[in-house]
Amino acid sequence: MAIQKQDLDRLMNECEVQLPGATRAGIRGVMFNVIDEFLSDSNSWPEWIPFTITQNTQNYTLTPAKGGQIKRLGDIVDSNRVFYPAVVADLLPPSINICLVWPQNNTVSVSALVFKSVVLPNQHGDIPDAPSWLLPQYERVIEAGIVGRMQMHKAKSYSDGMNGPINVKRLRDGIAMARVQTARGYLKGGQAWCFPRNFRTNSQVGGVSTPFPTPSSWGV
Amino acid sequence: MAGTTSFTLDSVESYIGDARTILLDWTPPYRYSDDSLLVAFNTALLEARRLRPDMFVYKFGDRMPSFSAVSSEQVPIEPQLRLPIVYGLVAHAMLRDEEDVPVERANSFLMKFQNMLVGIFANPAAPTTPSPRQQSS
Repeated sequence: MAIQKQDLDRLMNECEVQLPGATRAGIRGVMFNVIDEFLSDSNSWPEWIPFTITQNTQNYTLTPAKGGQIKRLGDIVDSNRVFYPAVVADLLPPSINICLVWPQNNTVSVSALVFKSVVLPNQHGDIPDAPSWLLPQYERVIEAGIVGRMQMHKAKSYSDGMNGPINVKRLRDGIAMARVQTARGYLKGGQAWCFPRNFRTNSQVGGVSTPFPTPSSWGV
Repeated sequence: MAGTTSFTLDSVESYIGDARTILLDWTPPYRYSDDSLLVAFNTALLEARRLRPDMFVYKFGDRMPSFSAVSSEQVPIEPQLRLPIVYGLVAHAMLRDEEDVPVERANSFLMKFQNMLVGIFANPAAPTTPSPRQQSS
């Protein structure tokens, strides 16, 4: 779901109050860049894309179904939580082409976790096609980013070389917080922790099985 | 041109009408023809694009709106930046060589136009009295 009108109106009003003489069109233009920076650097807009791996086929195209463009590939897992390593072969906004590291012998249904950002064209009214939770959750961060970037514009009525960098720093701090919150699943006291790599094994005896018959170079 | 009834500066005729008020040019035959004020208006818009491209680039890209008639055609400028356009229009019109209008006054409106676009405050307009040099001659 896209950005809600009441959230957008509040953001625009807050920015306009802090930027005397700024145009709404200019604020919207900067808004796209700030939201793109926030989502790209924080990996906070994930989407699980289901697809089917077929025999001896390693190349697939992933296209987001819920808007935005794919910036990074996370994991590809099946219903048994078995991981299928892959690399991004090509970026085709809003899609990506991926290449599985190993071909599979059987057809298997998997889901790919991807991380997205905003993509052009914008929605009606030149509003970036961002997720609906973005402004309720991170409105102050986005606002600081827009205000800071516009204050750093040259020779404008709202130019403010002193406070601009401070507001941009608030954006960067917010991006760092969002990245951690997303990694920890928005849990209070949660942690981005997993068993260390040497706990894994290639044999069934060790407790954590892998789908690959031989040890590989990627650390399993 | 008949008197304007719009005070929101949203159409060509409202800009020209407000400029005529400042220029004290409401009684035909006009000192400033409609065509000359349209040229001044379009020139002010071009200068505004140089100083504040955000007023136009998001909507028009590298094109610029221009107006060839004093009509009710809408002018796509956000409300907070409409008054500077009036001052720019007046300044360009006053720059014409007129014996009764000192150049200082034209320059003062040009400064108001530019300062309001790129600054916070507008400088005051110059008085309409003749300059000391004109008084002595």
